[in-house]
Amino acid sequence: MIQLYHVYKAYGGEQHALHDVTLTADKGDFLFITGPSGAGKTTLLKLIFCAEQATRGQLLVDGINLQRLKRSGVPYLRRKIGVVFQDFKLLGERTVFANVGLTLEVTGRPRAYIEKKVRQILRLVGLDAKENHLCCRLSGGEQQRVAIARAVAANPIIVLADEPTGNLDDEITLEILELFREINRRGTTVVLATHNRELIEKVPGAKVGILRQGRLVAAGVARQVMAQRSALEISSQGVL
Amino acid sequence: MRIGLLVYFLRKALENIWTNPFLSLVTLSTIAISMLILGLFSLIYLNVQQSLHQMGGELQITAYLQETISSEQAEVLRSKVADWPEVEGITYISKEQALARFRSQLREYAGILEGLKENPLPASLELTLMPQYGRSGNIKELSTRLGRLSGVAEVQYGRKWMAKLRVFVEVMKLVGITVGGLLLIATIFVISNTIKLTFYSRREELEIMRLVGATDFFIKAPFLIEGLLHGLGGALLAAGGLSLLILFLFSHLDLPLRLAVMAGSLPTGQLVAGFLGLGLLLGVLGSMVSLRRFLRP
Ligand SMILES: Nc1ncnc2c1ncn2[C@@H]1O[C@H](COP(=O)(O)OP(=O)(O)O)[C@@H](O)[C@H]1O
Ligand SMILES: [Mg+2]
Repeated sequence: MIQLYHVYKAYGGEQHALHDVTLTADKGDFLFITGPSGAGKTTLLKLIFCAEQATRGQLLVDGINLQRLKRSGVPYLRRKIGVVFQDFKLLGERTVFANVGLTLEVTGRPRAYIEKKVRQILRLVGLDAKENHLCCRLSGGEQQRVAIARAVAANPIIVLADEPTGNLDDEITLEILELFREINRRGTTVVLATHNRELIEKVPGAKVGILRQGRLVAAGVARQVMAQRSALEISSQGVL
Repeated sequence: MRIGLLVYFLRKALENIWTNPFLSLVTLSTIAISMLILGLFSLIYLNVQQSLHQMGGELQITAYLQETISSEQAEVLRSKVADWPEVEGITYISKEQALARFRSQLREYAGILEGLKENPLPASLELTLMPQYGRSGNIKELSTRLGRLSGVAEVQYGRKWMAKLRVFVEVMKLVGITVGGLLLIATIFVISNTIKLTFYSRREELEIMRLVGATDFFIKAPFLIEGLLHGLGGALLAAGGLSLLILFLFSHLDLPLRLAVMAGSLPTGQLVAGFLGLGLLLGVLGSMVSLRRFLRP
């Protein structure tokens, strides 16, 4: 579903934001991208939905070679990918309904279909009672749900989420994570960038890729990778 | 394209217009005023030109014949002059024809002719010239030549004021094209500027639309329609304004122009169609100018 081969990304300067990253997510995978701040997590997501272009290497998304994708093809790729942005990117002065419906509007869906679909998605994220509220009046957790609802409204095959639990308290973090697991259970590939280790431990069957200064330092099934990492960290602490 | 989508774009365009009604009003009036000025120019130009044409222009020369010339002699004269290269057409007008024409020109005053014992009007030859000999030098030379022919009593040609009017019309055409061109460019600029402002006020939404998979066309279409609506609206206002101006102003003014701007001879339908077409074109051009710049990645 998502394949990266020796991907490099440099933003103008000498330093690479991503350095020789090779990583795969199959259909139905739940993939965590983790690592400290500045490691390149956001950059990696941006490459996948064509918000940035790789400097070098190959990227395939649903069989499409992104390095060769024309500008006119980008919108159609994005319709297959739902993105939950770190800063939500919601229209504060618009209603919950309008924000979620936007994804469907831009594909030229008729009004009746949009209404039906948006209500259905809002029920899934538990916001059906707030359909007509303005987004700027919602709490952080509610805004996050709206962002998720918008990302999944057009039935994408991939959902990307950038630090979706960044500013939320523990209880709501778990609820949000559960929402992504539900989306994943319905067959959607989920890629979730987070620096929060605890989150990964909650989904032992997931895949994980660990980035450090743009390099992929570990990848595999969460349970094993996380166990290795903690062992490594304990031993390195022992050395120190 | 699906009708539903078209309605959607139209709704978005109207939303754009509503979000800044003052700006839209300014845009509309700018377009309307530009087109009104342009319309006035072309209307006056067309009418004066048409009147000139109707009055025969200065290309006609009349050679009045002496009383003693018989119609056979006149025919000889006619065929002789007809062979001159400058002459496009030539007609013999007999004394009787001249009188009949005069009578019909006088219409209800024709009664004053009843007292005449004999026909005072001379027979004449009426010449029209090839357009390339229409300059006044040629005409003067030709009339002298005509006057020297035996049997010709007097030669008359297009009055001086007509030549002046012609020059005036040509100058007006030049001024009209220049001013009109500038106005149209200004109009395109105003439309594109309005679109630019709407674009900026919506840039957050447009950016998000792009991120969730909107095509360039989908983002552009409402702005194109917005420009189009402004152009059409301005054109309608201008057409309406021009009609009012003609109806209420010109019909109450007692200027020589009134003669020219005859309500009956206005190509009104064509004019309105022309305005709408021009408005559409301006609107589309205006929005394309701004969208080209703003949809670069
Ligand atoms: N638009 C940008 N221009 C220049 N440098 C950038 C840009 N975005 C990210 N970077 C740099 O790339 C590196 C990786 O950033 P990012 O992908 O945001 O990391 P993370 O999301 O893991 O915190 C950082 O060093 C950051 O400063
Ligand atoms: Mg980040």
